[in-house]
Amino acid sequence: MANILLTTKCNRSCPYCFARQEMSGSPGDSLLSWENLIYIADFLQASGEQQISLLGGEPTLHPDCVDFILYLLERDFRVMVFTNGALSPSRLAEFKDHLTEVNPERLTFTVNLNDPVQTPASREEMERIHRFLSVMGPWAMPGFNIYRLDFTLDFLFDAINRFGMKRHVRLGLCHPVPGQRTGYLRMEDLSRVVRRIYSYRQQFDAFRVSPGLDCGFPLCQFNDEELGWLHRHRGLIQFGCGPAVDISPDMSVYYCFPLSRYRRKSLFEFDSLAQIDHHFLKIRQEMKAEIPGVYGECDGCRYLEEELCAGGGLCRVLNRFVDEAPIRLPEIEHELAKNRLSS
Amino acid sequence: MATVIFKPTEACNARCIYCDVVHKKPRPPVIMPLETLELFFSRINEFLLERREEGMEVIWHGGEPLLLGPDYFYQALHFQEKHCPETKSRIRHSIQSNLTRFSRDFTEVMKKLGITSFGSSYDPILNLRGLGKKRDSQAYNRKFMEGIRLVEEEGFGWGIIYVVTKPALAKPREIFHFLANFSPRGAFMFNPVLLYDAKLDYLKVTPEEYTDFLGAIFPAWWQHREEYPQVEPFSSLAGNLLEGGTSLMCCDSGSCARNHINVLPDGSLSLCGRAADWGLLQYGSIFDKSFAEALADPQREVLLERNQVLPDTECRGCRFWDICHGGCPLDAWSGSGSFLHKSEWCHAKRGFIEKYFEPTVNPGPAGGAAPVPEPSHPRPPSLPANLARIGESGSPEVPEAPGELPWISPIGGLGDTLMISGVLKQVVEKNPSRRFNLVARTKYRPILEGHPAIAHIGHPPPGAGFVIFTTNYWEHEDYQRPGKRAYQVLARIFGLTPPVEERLYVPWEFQDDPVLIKLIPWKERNILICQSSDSPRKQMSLERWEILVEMLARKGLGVFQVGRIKDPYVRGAYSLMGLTSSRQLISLVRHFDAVVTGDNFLMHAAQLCGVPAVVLWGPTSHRVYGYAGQTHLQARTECEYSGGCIGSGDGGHLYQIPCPRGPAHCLDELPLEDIYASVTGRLTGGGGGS
Amino acid sequence: MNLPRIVCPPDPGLLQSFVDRTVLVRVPSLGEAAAAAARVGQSGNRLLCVIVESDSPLADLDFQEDQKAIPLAVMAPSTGQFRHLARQLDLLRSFNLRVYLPGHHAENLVGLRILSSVGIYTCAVLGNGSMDWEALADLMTYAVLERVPHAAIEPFNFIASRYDPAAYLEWGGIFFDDPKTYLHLDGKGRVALSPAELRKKQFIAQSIAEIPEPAEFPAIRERLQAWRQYFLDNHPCASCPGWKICLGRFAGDGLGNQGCAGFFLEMLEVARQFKNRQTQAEEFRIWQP
Repeated sequence: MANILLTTKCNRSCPYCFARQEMSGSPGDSLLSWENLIYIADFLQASGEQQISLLGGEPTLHPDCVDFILYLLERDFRVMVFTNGALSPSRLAEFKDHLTEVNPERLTFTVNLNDPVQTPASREEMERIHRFLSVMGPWAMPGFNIYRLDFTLDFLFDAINRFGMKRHVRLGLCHPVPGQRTGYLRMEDLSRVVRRIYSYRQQFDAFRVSPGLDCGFPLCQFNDEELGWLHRHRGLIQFGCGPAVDISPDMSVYYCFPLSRYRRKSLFEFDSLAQIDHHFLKIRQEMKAEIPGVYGECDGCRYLEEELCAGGGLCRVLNRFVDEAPIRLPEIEHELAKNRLSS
Repeated sequence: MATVIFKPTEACNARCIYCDVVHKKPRPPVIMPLETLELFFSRINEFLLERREEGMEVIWHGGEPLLLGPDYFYQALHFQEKHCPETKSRIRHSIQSNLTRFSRDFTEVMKKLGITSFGSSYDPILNLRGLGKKRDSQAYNRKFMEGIRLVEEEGFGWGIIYVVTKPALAKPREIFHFLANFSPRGAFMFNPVLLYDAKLDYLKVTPEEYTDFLGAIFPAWWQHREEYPQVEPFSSLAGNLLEGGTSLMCCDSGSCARNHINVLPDGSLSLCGRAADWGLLQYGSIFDKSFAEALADPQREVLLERNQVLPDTECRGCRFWDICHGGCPLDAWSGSGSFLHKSEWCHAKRGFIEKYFEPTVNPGPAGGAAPVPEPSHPRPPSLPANLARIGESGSPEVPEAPGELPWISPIGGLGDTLMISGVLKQVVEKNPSRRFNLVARTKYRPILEGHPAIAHIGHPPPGAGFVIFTTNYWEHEDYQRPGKRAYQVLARIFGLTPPVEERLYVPWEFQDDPVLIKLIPWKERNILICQSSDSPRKQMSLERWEILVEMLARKGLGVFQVGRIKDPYVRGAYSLMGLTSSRQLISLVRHFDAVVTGDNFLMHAAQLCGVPAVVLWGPTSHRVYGYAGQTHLQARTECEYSGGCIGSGDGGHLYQIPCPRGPAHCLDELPLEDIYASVTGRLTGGGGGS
Repeated sequence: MNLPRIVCPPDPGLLQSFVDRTVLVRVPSLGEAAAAAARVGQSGNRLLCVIVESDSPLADLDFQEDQKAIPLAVMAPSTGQFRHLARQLDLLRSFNLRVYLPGHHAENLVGLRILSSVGIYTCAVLGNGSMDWEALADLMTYAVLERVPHAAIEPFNFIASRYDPAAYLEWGGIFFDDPKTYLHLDGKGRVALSPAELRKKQFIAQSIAEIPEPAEFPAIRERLQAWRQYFLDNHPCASCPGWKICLGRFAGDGLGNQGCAGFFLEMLEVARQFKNRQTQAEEFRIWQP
């Protein structure tokens, strides 16, 4: 699946934002054009893709957001929009007029919700989000980015029930952005994150909400009981690490937001998604030849060898290289130096 | 085929600036009388009756032949019918005309004469070609254009000769595209202007200029030559030079002496039009000479002699002789006053071929050589240049920053790690306080963690105040010296003085997986094999391994295979691939009676555990890597393959690339019987050796 | 020469002034298409299509099920918003329809690509204003070489599929601008050689009856031979590598329209690739019983 960035603009400033670096490096008015959207749609269709994610910045700020969504649906893609839900009244009216007849199985809004207590938003923003959910709730599911250990999830269950949202929660870990001093959870704390998620088991079960784990959760941080519980909700669980394949408005393609400055290329350099995967696979192999994973125990781990686990996020591996002497493969060091990521 | 350049008139309605014919007073008669025309066809018939295998091409030329009017051509047709009843099928007519006088009245007679196409001329540059004494180019062009339209409508083809003059040199591509656009179905030819009047020097082009003119056009034509009309000289050169063709213009044929005759309105005969203009090579008149006699005229001898002389003189060794023959003899004469020289335009032709044609058609190594593919995972990751390379310097003295332990950057395979571990053990035995940090890198931690020489495994901080040892001994200068062994080079890298005892070492207790050990279906005698290697060149083929396993199994031996989980399976063996960590694999080896393996980790592990090993060596040498006490079966380290191999010392880039020799790969030449005999020998207590 | 097709208003009297001709009728709105088509049938002539010359964007036109059977050439100033178009797409795809948009508006080049990508056949009307040649080249490349299924965008697909190195290619007929194939009549039956000349009221005859032999009619004959003048004038277009598929269409003020040469060179390259693909497809085809 590929992620298309409709715009680099955002109307929110989340403390954990891992896209900030990428967004700040782009012109403020960077918007995906129709020509590029069609090119991407053709590219993905030719690659056999059936699902597209729309990201930003805040994708709903793109003036043609509604048209883009309808267009991609017309092209037979299932569309997932990652939004903060804080839409202007006029934009929300467009959504209501043109998107509420779409089959909810083909269109999903992953609404990135922040804890109203720990990461409070303005009253206006909260009202906008609530208005959005009251209109688009059946097409929406909550997403939550974990950037502190004392996070809570209660407000997500409340939102799901109050607005009739899809009964699934996307849980994302905040990863380091190589070369940037952003806040993120340390690897040694991840088992505590897992324990805390599992502590909400009763709510998940009672409200029939399935937990979805985003990239970078290492398999070894879960015990068998937790794995069994997750399996009952989600079937096969991935403990992988991308590539997410993010495509920016200027048609750059990169592994994921945290790695947006590393081995970035133009989409026009590729003929298919398989070629992009091959490119990223090479990047991953190079890095994994240097460090197998985020823990010392990753070296020789059978689950890593069998590709059941990625050994944590590649962004964390790269982050180690940033803070050390230039000792890695020349290809890696060259790229780090080129993007001023090396120390 | 004999060729007659037939000029029934030298009159022309145009005054092309470079035309020799119009610059002199026309010779009487202006138009060939009908009785002469009749005699002309009678002479043709006479010639063709004599030479029953020959044909004759009659090129209507001038002057402007269409000035003769259709009736004249009908007369010609009549005379042909009258005098050539038996031979007319061997007469081929063609015509060179400026087409400004073409009308539909010509259509029928032209077709009856068998003419399907008109050769013509055009120049978009004004004031070079034109009608009347004022040389009115625009009137000429309009009439020419009308002529072209009519010719096309009447179903004729047409082609253009373009005469390259000085003004044309400024825009070769424009002229080429103009002509190509103008005659998409036709053909055109570039000829350099030939001027002998000093007043016209401003129009002259030198051979070099003509070369560059053609050279500017040629790549465009070549790139899409199948789309463009036939363009000369390009088409002929391509046909002759690339496809072995023999299509030559008269000036290059070297055979004009044998088959060319020019006929003027008064019936006089000469070699060609230019010869007639210059009063050279005159053969009399059709009134008193037959064509056969004219072709046998003694004056032609000098041209035949030219073909004998030039290959031994000015054209000696020229690789283009067969397509040039020294060029037009008339050109030679105009330059030197003698036919026995080559044409001054030789430089133009040869220059064009060598400077433009050949580099475009055959770009050669610089432009055409396929880049050597990069290995996907080059084996020796080199250290960035900004870090000290102690490992490569060979210096036993290790500068060490105060308060900072030197770092080891481990590079190489797992087997190398066992050697590094052994060397480091000897380092601390010699100097108990010596310590290093180890750069965290995939696959080294499980082997080296806990080593007495390793204080810390992790990430070296940025800064230049410390030293990094790299273990890429294969880049060390000692490695290339005869008799040097990998272990000894590593020892030198870490400050030991070779020779040292080659001991392997692991800093941890052997760790069997008890469940696995229990589940393995042991036999009385058990062999451990490993087919895989990081380099495909160090692997014996799977098929041969399978035969070997079958031979060993037939002997009642248990044969077990280890390797990575995705390594290819040797059928017949009991697979333990991917079931062990590197530590567990080393521990597992101890339970076997013997090991059969290539140059890989298992070879080193067997040595570490003291288990007898039969090692199969191909491109790498047991003299560099093998251990005393093991049985070494060496195929050969020298490969006659021109691309070299990994054992040659400069083959790092080949490490991941399979052997190009296929079934003739050196390791596959090892006799299986020898391997089998070595294994059974080791089981019965036989010693090692090569 | 076959008799040219007649493009005229659906005036019953005018339509009955000639018989057994292939006719295209012009109407100003989609709602008049059905009646216009019927009148052609009643006149004893053959209908090629109804040309709807709309002032409204395509998305704002109200297509109806009962118009499906009418061959339509809808000339709209623009596409309009996709959100409005989306509701009609299923219906539009079932129509016998080609959409014409002016090619000199940048947003229309995008609109043409959108329509093509969702299966609507289109044509860029070229030559009525300054072109963004680079954007046009992008659209052309998309139209001809994009491998993902999409509807043809003319004139590009026409040029690529008909390109013959040994011949000139006239493609104005795609948007009815070729007097060999189309003659344009006004309501009084006066004849013009092109849509532009019809708009400017530049007529070559007072009625079609004056042109019994189009090939011999001086104005038509002169127009069909007009390309020769470029060579007589030594015009830059005559030396342009793209001439054979352009024929000086964008010569403008006589100096050549800047950018068109690059476009047509690229068009030639794309046409070659298109042919190569066809050849390769042929080569790799399996044997046929």
